[in-house]
Amino acid sequence: MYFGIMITMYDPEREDAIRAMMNVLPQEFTNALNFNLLDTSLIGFIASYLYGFLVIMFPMIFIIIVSNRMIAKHVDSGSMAYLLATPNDRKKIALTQVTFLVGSIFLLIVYITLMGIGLSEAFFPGSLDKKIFFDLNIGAFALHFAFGGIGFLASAFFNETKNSLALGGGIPIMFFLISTLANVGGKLENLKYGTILTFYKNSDILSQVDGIYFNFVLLFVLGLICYISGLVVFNKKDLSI
Amino acid sequence: MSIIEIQDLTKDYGNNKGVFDLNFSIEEGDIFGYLGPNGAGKTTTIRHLMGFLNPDKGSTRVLGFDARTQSEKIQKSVGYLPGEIAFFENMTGLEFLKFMAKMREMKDLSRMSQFVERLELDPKGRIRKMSKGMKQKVGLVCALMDDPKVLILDEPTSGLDPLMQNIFVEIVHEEKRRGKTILMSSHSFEEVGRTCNKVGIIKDGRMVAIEDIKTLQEAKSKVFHITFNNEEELRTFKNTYGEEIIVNNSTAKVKIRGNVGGLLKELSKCDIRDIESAHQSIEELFLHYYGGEKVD
Repeated sequence: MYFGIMITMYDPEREDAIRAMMNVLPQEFTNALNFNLLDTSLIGFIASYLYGFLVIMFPMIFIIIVSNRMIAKHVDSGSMAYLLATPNDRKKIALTQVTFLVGSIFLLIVYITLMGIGLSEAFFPGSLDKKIFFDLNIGAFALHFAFGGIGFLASAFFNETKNSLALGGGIPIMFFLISTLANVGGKLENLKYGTILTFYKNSDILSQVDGIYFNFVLLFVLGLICYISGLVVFNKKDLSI
Repeated sequence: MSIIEIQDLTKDYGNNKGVFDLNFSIEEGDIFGYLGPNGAGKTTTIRHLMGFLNPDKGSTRVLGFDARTQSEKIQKSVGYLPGEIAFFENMTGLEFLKFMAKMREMKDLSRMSQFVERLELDPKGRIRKMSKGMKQKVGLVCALMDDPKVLILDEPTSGLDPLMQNIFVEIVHEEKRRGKTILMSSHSFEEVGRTCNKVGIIKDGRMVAIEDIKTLQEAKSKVFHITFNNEEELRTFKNTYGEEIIVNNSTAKVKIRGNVGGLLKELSKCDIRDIESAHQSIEELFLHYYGGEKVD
């Protein structure tokens, strides 16, 4: 919903007003949160104010919560005993959960893509650079696919919700914080090597630098490794339920 | 093929916790009572049968399949009641039962409704708001509703009021008549005595005894306090009667196992003032095992 409102706020004429508003905040702050206006086109506007922070942050929280619910929560509470007291083996159950998680992420991205295009066409017909917009969303999917993988692996590995959330949530949040610090610039810039968010930079996608697709593939592969590891670990371990 | 086969099952959690070298099997039609103090290893054993745990050593087989690696083949024929109540949040009793029915690909829900009614369960309530006894009933219905060949019940009457416990006993008898095989862990000697034909006692992870109920019942000893008219009679009796007796003035305390008739025949030859009997119940028998001494 915020997404929709932000898009309609775009007004090329009012660029100065927006700049002025943003200038109230200290430069380091807007740098850190990746909230700087990159350029004044519609896609630039969208890339800056939505795909720098919000499209990263909000789905991430959703994914952290949901991925814990996939397995660890059931093992912790003991309800996994009932799921397994059916003619379904562990692989099937885990795979069903993965499908749900990835499917949710996919639907979320599809939704914001469609809404973005829809609203842009409605209010500013023809202005939106669709290729870049798709790139932003494909990349967002890859990023969240990876976050989901981390969350799922933690959920499959740990028997207690508290541990599953600590790592499944802690690691993505840590990545996010590191990228925030790296964005501040200066000496902290090298921190960008410590976070997977480096593979998803709205500025890179906006300017269509080489290698963005490669980065997406890296994120996707990371996610895949995590999902598969999670399945294997869950299939083998002891369950005190 | 035994319905349940446990061979050399060992799972060591350290500190002498776990199960060690368990060996027993349960045949079709057996109603097996699995008794033991808290922490003895009953639930650990059952978790192996359900495929939740990997044994350190040994194996468990149910219906011929390996319990750990082939558990999905077994589950359709097993009704399970976990020892700790653990349902899904936010469902009502009915939603849970219908969910499980779907997961088990059950077509016919009539048995479900029958048991719900019989156990006087109000399924429309939220599980979270249910009392322990109600939750236990939901679990019982879930285990019974798919008409499984094998029932694995971990403390099935925990939380049930005496009336419901009776109904449970009835249900077990019915399932027994229908040829089902049941493994139930329990703390209630009375219940096991009323329902089971075989009993296994586990203590500190090791099997202490496996007996037919009949054997145990015959092993139950009766103690008679017999007051003789005079010490002469008592001495005569003591000399002729083969079994052990403890003498106290003119009273003899005779402990016998099973053969009351023999004692009475002997006594009919004597002059007796009074006779009193004290039962050793199955409880006392079991408590001997729990306490570590064996009754021989």
